[in-house]
Amino acid sequence: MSEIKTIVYKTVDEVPEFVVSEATMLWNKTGSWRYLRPGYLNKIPPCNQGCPAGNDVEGFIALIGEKKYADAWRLLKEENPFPAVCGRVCYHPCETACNRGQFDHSIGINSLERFASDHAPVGETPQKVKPESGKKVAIVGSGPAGLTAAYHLARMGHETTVYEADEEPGGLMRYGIPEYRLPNSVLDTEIDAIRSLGVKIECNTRIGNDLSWEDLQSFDAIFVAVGVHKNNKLGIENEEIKGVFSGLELLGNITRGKEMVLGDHTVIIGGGNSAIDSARCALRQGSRVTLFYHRSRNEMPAFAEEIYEAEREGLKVHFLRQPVKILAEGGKVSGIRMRQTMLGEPDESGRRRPEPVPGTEFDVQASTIVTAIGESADLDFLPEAVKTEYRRISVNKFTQTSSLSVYAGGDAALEEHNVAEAIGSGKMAACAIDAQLRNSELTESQIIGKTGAVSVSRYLKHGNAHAESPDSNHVVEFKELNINYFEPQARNKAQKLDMNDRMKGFREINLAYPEDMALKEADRCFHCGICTMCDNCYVFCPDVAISRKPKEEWGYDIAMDYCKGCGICVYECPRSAMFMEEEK
Amino acid sequence: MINDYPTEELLKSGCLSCQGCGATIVMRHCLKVLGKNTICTIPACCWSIIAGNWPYNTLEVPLIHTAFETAAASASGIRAALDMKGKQDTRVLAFAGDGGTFDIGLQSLSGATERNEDIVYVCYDNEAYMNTGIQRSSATPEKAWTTTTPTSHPKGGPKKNILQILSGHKIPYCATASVAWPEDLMAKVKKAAETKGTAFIHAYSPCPPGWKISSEKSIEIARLAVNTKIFPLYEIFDGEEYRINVEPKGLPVEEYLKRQGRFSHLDKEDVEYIQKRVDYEWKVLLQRSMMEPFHMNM
Repeated sequence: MSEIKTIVYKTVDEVPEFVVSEATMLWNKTGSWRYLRPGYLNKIPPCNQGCPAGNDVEGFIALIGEKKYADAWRLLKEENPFPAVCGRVCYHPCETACNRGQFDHSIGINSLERFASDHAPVGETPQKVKPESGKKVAIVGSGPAGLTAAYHLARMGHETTVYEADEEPGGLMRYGIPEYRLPNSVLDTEIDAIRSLGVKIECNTRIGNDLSWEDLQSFDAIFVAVGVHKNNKLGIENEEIKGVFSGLELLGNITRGKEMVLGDHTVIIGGGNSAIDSARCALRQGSRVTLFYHRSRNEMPAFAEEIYEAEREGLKVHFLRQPVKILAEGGKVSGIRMRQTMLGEPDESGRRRPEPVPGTEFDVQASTIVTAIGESADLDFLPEAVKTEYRRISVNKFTQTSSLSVYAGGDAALEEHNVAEAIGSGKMAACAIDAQLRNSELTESQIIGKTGAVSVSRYLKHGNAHAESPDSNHVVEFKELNINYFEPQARNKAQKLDMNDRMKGFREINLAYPEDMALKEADRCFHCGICTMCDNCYVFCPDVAISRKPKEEWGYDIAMDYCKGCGICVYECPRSAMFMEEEK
Repeated sequence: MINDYPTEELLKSGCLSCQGCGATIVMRHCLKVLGKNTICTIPACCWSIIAGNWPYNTLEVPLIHTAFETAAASASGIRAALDMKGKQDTRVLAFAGDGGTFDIGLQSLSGATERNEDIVYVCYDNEAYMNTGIQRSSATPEKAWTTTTPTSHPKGGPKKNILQILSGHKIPYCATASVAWPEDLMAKVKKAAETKGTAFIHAYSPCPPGWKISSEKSIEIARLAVNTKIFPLYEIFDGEEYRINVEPKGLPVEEYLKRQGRFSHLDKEDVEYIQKRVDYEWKVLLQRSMMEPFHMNM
């Protein structure tokens, strides 16, 4: 900007003969006209709030858009040790929350996460973020919740030991999710990164069996994330007979490489994800598979996409059918007696209760029966001081149990049973334990938006990808965007493995985005609430009061001496990354 | 970030425009393209005020304040003087409001265009005499309120089509432009500057106080004017070859009208009438854009 100059003619002689200007109008501080003041404020995109694992979704998509794939992966790793797992198995509630869904189609966030994790720099592991504390933390269970807590606690400088009852770490990620959805090699890479932070994982160690609860008292804090492994029973005749498996048993045995002879026809009872996973595994063993579910398709808890794929692979699904009795011949399953149901009034889960229709029994021949009607936690090892309710550990919103220094998370403490929620609870536990051990503060302001997960980087005061702007916890709604700056563009769909190649084994079905498709998809992101330096505010300012910050710095400066407060910049911001407040 | 957006600001802060002024945005982008080697002439209009009082000038290029009817005439004179001095590179910008262009300055504009003076004439159209108190001009849209066309006697007759008048002169280049499409506006100013002979740009510039809109909606209203086909963006080469630059979304004119206080008195029939006229004008424009321009060997 040129200099501010005021001209004063003291005598008539000083006045030039020709009426000519001698300076600009910069002396005129038009900022005094203003009664509303604009400002820049990065807010919370709905996807970030919608991610149960608390990822900076918008941030990593922005980095993919800039072709900084390794940085995108690093940003994901700040919050979540399992981007490669989540990029494959997460049910992506972030995409449901995505504002673009109200415009054309939501962003393919899940596939982009997978893309970022596929481009992780080989051998790189995240570094510690705090000095050693000298404190020791025990974690019971090495599922997504336990390992996430271990990862963050180790990064925060605590000596962490994970106890796992099974032969290998991973919990349901290893033994409950089949390889065609999540290859073990992918899981191993991410677990190795956690080990390399100094986390000790003691396998084949069941608390209450190989070690007692008292043995853990030498630790400064304990996180219980044992998951749910006790199969719920149907409560019908012949349930213990040869040829009847639980869903988890079937999935676990296949992962462990045990030979499974299923015979010509496998019947699955249940409608959750383990029922569908069991069915798809049985199909890959060459068996004919029929699934019976006692309600209708609308009430099925399994992910719709998984059901669709299972049916494409040959699964027959029958709704409103309930088992009456397992039929046996020679000490072994020969079939199952089913009957029809009809839907009655909603039950406590809000879904309509199935009611049996008398006189509709029919028999189905079966060589194997798999029951997958839900699991509950085995919590017998816990002392009385840790309160449980309905076979679930009672915790507050900071994952604290009724016993001091004991925290709990994952399926054993949560209503929702999935990897992303478990990761979220592991993060919360890590932050809460760190806060307790270091006498620092964990508050609700570290929760993303109103209903999101805890943000570890906010807890550590790292800030987000584009740093400087002050944080706001306001979640940007669709109506706050200026959609004139967006054009409709179809969502990019990742390829799936050809049907002929699928059934030969356990090859991964969902294929990754090729690079050009990932870039196109990242380009669709609205970046709700986050300044992308699109220049709208700068270009439209009638008072030339907005300027780009000096090189290498992100954002804009507003010359408040001259801003008249017209509000064009705020109104024309496509993504609501600005605000207007009354002048004080 | 918009790559190759000219960052030089020849319009300085502190100018006397109202909050959300469209005319100021037009000037800012014109000068970004024309650059420092430009002489600007401004007849009586909002910009006579906006530029500031003597001995100050908010522009960092020479500015000549001139009489209401003489924008094109004084520009012609400046051009002649520069040519005499051998300064063919220096550009001459006549920057006038709709009053000084459509009404009072029309004769001198017609003369300059007919002589094909090598000037750039930008008319920022805020559809009335705004700085003197919102009196109607021949650019005021039909049925709009102004202080001289109160709601009991709203403005009668359609807005004058200045581009038709100029294309009747076979002007080498004329175009409409809008503050809501700054890149399009700058591209047109660039074409105008490169045109040998007279080039005219009709720039749509919302006026928050005069149109009775809140200041932050300036750009939004300009965008709606294009998307409702009320103010289509197009250019005419040699008075014959039409080119439409932005495909309007085709929103109903009501979306544009209902957001402005100056149209708040319109009833359903009025809106319907305006819609019909807009549809007709758009059809005419489409047909013209499909016509082959004149060639000797036709």
